[in-house]
Amino acid sequence: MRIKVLYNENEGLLRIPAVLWTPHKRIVSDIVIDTGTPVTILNHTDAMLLNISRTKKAGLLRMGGNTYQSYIYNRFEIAFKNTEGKEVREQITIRIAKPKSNKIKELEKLDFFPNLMGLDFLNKGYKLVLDFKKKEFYLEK
Amino acid sequence: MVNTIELIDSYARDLIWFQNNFLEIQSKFEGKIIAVKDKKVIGYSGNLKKLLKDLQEKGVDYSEILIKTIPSKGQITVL
Repeated sequence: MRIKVLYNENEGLLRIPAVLWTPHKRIVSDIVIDTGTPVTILNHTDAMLLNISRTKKAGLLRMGGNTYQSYIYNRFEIAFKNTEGKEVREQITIRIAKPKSNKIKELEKLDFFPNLMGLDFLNKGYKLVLDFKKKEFYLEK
Repeated sequence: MVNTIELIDSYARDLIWFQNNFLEIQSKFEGKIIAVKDKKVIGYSGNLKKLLKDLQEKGVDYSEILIKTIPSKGQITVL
């Protein structure tokens, strides 16, 4: 089973379209593959759109030169479309970064971070194929 | 309610359009949050709450469209 990854050198990010679910709400969005992060991170904008409020305080996250307080949310699912046109759904515990203060600049900086698919997600049995020569980008399970 | 596969298909079309036109979009909307539907920018603002309010007033369901914050020119996203 394969899930297509979208890549365009203009933007330079590997994105997968997905539907993000909590028990109360769903939104369509995308998630950027980041093998440099051990955990999967939901960005500030999507956390707001999903109205996620009840979270458990976790460790500090260092992103883009800034340190943020992270919160854990475990009632979260991601749905993808595989290359056969079927829905693939995975449950994953995510982290949400919040500023340590209410300064508007800190909030604005967080808006620029996309959702990040970390190694914890890939470790659910996925193979990541990135062939820039053949322009083939996909996850396989 | 639109089903998951239809929602992903529609979003993927807009995401590909967004990626292909990223440099042009960035030159027009750097630092803003934009909403894209059917390969068109249907709204933008410097503030997410204001953008969501504008979309609601237009009768657009923000949970079913592409919403992206556009980094400034020369800003590279290092994750």
